[in-house]
Amino acid sequence: MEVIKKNEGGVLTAVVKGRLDTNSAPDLEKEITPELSGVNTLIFDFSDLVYISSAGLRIILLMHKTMNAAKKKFIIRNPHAEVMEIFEMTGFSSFLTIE
Amino acid sequence: MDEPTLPVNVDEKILRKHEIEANKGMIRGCLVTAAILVILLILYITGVFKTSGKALMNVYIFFPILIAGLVSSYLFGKTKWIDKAWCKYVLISLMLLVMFSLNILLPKHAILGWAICLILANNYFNSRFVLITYISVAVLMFLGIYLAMFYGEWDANFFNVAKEFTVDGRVVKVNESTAQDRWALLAELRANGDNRYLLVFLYYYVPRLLSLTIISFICFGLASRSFRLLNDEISIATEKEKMKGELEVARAIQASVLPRVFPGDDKERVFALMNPAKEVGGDFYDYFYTDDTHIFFVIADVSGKGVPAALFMMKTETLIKSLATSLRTDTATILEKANNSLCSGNDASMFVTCWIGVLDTVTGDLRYSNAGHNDPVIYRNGKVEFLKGSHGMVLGGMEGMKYRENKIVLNEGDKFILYTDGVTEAHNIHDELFGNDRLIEFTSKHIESDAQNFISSLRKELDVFSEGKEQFDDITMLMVDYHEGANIMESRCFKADTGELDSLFNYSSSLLEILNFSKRDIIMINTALEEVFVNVANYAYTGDGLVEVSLSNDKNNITFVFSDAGKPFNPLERPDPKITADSDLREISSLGIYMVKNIMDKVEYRYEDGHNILTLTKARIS
Repeated sequence: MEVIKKNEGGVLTAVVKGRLDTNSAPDLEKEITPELSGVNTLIFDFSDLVYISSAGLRIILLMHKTMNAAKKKFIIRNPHAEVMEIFEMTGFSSFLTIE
Repeated sequence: MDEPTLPVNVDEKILRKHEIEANKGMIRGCLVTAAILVILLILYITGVFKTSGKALMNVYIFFPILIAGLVSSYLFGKTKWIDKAWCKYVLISLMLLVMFSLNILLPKHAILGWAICLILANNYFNSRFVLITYISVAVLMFLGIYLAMFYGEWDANFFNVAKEFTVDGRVVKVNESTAQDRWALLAELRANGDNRYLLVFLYYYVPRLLSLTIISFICFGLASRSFRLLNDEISIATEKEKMKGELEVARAIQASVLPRVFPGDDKERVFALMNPAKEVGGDFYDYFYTDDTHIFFVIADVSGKGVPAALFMMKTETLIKSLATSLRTDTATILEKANNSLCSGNDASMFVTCWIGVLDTVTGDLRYSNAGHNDPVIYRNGKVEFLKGSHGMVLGGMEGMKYRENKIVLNEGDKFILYTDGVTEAHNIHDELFGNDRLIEFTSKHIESDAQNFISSLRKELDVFSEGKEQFDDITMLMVDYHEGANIMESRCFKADTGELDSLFNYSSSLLEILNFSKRDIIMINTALEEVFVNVANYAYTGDGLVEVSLSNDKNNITFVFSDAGKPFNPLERPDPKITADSDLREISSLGIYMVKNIMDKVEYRYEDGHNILTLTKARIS
């Protein structure tokens, strides 16, 4: 997994590439969490994310809750069909903002 | 922290255990001392013992206090502090304090008591602790003797007067002398050139200290020698433990080369079992596809048992498998080549009996060759009998031996049983063998059972037969139930560690690609495999462990079987999570299994033979 972060005027965009599995999910958390102060919109760009497992879902739920509690926005962008299928299977699509 | 002098290789836990035992010994010492004080007190009260000087009263006051103090150590021993490193300092302080009081009260009699402290300190196998105790004894005895001159029982060694003395013009009876009287007496003696302090130090303290020094030297030596012995014992124990651990790993490696999971679509078709007589054994079986329609079977028994046999077994197993998959030739040639390879460099003169066969799953042709192994039992045309064939020489015995290939044709529903002589030569307590006749009889009776049930009931039958006599040889058996269309593909062992995920993905992806699964299906199936694998990696074992993942397919389904020897756990019993934005993050842990259930068409769990077995099935055309 590879993460490219860009912070522009309070909008943190993280392009997550590759696989978000048990081994890489903790790295994503470590990459994002320290950057969150002063961020009012967090965007996960999943254009190049080919795989997600429950460990990745855990991070997404964590981010969603963190941002929600602070009344900030959290957006998932361009997930692949397979990743979207996982979101739907697990009911994540019902509460996530997916563009 | 408290024992910087200890060599680092001493096992902290064992040392701690010994220290607790020493603490208990110390407490026992306290209780024995208390009991002696009780007896003394009774003797004083009843007037059997008499004290001279003012000490009499002190005995009545101090003895009960000392006894109470000593007995309280018993209660102290009941608390959790008993295993603390400082506990020994508390106990030795108590003992020193008691001896110090006795030294003051009864200097003549109690002086030997100091040795008790040293001997008790010796219990800790810690020469530094003995040294600390010795220094404390030297200091306290010095103080004690000094105080005893004024406050203790009259000791003629301090003052060489018999019954009374004159001081400041008064006549004082020694029995009734007070500290002031003695102070005045000492001052008077000194004024007359008789320095009692010096004399008591030189002729009373020093000789006793010398005796105690000798005792403490002995204790010192004993403590360090005991410590070294303990250390040796620990390293032997550790070595043994390590050896056992290594044998356990060897057993796991050995077991991992044998297929253990036997998938099938609706019925078990092949089932095998291996019970080594020792940790590692010399028997083995294997079966694998050499191409789409041919299954290769092998069963073998290496001479001897234990580690040498297991090593030779691994060599033979690898050799036969590589010959069988690379040559695709007749079984006789495989044995011939295997024999020649095993003979060269066989310095240990080991040999192996071996039966190999190739089954054509389409035609039912079974071609086989035998190198000195037991004839398999076969069920054909309603009859159970031995599958006879020409026997060749055992492998590894002599170079250049020739073998012959035999052939029969199996029909739907025919079965054959491969086994090693651990089965037929199982002994009972009357030294009878299980034998060929019993095997045929048992097989005839149970031939209708499926492979798995047959093998486990035969194993039970052997246990019943042996009537508790220890298993002498490795017992290995394998039953093949011939059907058309069964297709076992591959099985692999992984370390139960999330670090192995990538190898798991590589393994599953390559197999799924061969089976023409779509990219989407491969991603989805891999997700399910990750969830199951991570579950095993995180929860099954407390230490290291293995998980076997096998894949089989038939024309409708693909089946993954996960098998681990960890603690029994059925992941399917967890309730499905309620995933909403508000739900707790903890729910996530059951989300993985929920995903598995959704991705796969069928998920089943069973616990069998000490293994968690989770079967995941997915239809090939979704």
